[in-house]
Amino acid sequence: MPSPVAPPSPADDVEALYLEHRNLLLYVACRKFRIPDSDAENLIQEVFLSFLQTGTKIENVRAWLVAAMCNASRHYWRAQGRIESLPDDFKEHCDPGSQGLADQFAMRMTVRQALDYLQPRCRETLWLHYFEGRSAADVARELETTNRYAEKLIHNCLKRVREIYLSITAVTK
Amino acid sequence: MIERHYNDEALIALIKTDRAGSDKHLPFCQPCSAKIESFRMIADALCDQEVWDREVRTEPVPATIANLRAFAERMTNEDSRAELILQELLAGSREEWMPRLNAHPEWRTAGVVRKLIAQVYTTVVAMPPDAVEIAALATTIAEELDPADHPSDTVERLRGAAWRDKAYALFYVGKFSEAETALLVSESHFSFCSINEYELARLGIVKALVLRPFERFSEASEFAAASARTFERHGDLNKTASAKIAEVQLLISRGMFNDAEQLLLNLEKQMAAIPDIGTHARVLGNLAHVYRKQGKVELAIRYYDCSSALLDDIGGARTETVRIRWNVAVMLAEAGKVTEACKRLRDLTREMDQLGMTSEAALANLDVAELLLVQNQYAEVDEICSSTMQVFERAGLSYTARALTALAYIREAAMQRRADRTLVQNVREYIRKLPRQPHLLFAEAPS
Repeated sequence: MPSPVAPPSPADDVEALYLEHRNLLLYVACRKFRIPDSDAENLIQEVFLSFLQTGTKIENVRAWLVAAMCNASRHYWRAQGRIESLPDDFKEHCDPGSQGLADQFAMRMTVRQALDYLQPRCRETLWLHYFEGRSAADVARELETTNRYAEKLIHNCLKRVREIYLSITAVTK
Repeated sequence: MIERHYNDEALIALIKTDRAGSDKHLPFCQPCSAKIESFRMIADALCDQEVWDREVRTEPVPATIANLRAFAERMTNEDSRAELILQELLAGSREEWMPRLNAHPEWRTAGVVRKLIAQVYTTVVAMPPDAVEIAALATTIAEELDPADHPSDTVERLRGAAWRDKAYALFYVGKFSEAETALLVSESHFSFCSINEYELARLGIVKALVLRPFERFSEASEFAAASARTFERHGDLNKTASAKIAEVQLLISRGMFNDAEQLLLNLEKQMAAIPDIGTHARVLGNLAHVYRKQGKVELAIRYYDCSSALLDDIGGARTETVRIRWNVAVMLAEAGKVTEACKRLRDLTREMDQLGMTSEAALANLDVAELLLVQNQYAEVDEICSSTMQVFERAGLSYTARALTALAYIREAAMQRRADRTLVQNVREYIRKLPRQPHLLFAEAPS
C-alpha cells in the first residue's frame, strides 16, 4: 500500500510561489522601476516576507505580489533619494494605479520572451517599424527591399510574434 | 448562413489605418474582436522600450529560497506553540487573561501575537468586550518583542496590526476616542515598514469607520476611497468591497442616499465575483438601511431579511444580526405595529446586554420606553429606566455617570406622569452621542 503523501509545508509553499513569480517580480523591479539587478533580489525577498505576514486571505496572489513589488520599488527610490539624487524619470517609476497591473506586466514580459524566438530579420523589422516608428517605405530602404515586401514582412512578423506569444501563454496556463 | 471572419491581414490593416472603431463587423463578432485586440496589445507592447531590453537574470537565488523557507518554518513553529498557549491564556473570563499573561513572560512571542490578532475579528462580532481584551493582550505582547530577535520589519508589522485591530475592537464597543488613539499608534508602526501600502489600506478602512462618529466625513471618505484603490491594485475584490461599504456609510451619514444606493447596487452586481458571504450580507444590509432612509419600507425589510439570512448561514456574527433585527423592530414601530415592535425590542435589549453592547441596549430600551409612553404606561417606563441604569452601572463606562443622570431625568418625569416622547427622544439622542462625546452635558430641550 502506498504511504500517504504529506501535504506541502508552508516552507514548500513559499518556495513554490517564489519560483513561480520571481521572474515577473524581477521584471517589474528591473524594467518598470529601473532597480539595479543586485538590489532587486533583496526587494523580492522583502515582498515574500511581507506576503507571509499579511495574516489575511490573499485573493489574487500574483496581483498582490506585483502590487507589493511596486510598493517596495517606490520605497527603494524614496530611500535612495535620501542619500543621492533620484533618477530623472523617477515619476515614471510610479505605477498609474491601474487595474490589472500584474496582467499588464506579465503580458509585456511574455512579449519580450517571444521576441527571443524570432529570426533576427523579423526582430529588426518589428524594431524599426514599431519601436522606432519608421514607415514601411523606410523599413524597405533599411532592409534593401521593396515597399510591398516590407509591408508583407511587417504583417508576417507581427503574426509570428503573436503566435509565439499565444503558445507561451498556453504552456503557462 | 455561414459566418465570415476577417483574416489576419485585414485585422492588422484595420489597426494600422485606425478604422477598427468604425468597423461594422467587429462589435458583433467576438472571435474577430478578440483577435484584433491581441494584435493591438502586442503592437502597443512593441512600442515600449521595456520589451526590447536585455533579459533580466532568471536564475532563482538559493540564498533567498533558504531565507524564505527558514522564515516560513519559524513562523509555523511559533504559531503551533502559540495555539497551545492561547488555549491556556484565554481560559475563563476575560478579567483573568491579563493577570495570567503577566504571570507567564515566556508566552510573549510573535506567534501568540499573530494568533491573538486572528481572534480579534472573529470575536468582535460575537462578544465585543472579549475582542477588546484580546487586542489589548496582543498590543501588550507586541510592544515588548525585541525587533533584534526577528528578521526584517516583523515586529513593527505585528505592532501595527495589533494596534489596528485594537482600534477596530474599541470602535465596535463605542470607545471612539480610544480607537482614534490606537489608529495613530498603528500608523506610526507601519510607517517603519518598507512594504506597507496594503496594511495601511486596511488601516484606512478602520479610520473611515472611526472618524464617522466624529462627523469628520470628508476626511473619512478620502481614507475609504484611497483604501479601495489600493485593494484594487492588489487584486483584492473582497476588501475593495469593504472599503466601498465604508464609503457608503459615510454617504448615508451625510444624507446622500441616492449616491449610497447607486454605489451599493453596483457592488451588488459585482458580488458574483466576490466569494465572501459576509461581505455580500453587509452590502444587502446597507441597501436595506438606505431604502429605510428613503421610506421604502417593504424593500428595506426584504433586504434586511436577505442580509440576516446570509449572516445566519455563516454563523458567528451575532452582533450584526442583532443590529439588523433592531432595525426591523424600529421599522415595525414606525409602521404602527407597536405590540410586535415592543416584544422584539425587549428580546433584543436582553441579547445586547449579554453581548456587552451597552450603549445599543440602552438605546433599544429607550425605543421601548417611547412606545410605552404613547400608551401612557408610565410604570413600565420607570422600570425600563431603572434596568437600563443598572446596565450602565455594571458596564462602568467613562460616560456612565452622565448616562445615569439623563435616565434618572426620564424616570422622575415618568413618576410624575409628565414624561413624553420628545423627552425620551432627547435622552436617546444624548446617549447616542455620549460614546464619542463622553463629557457632553445633558440639558433638557426647551419645550
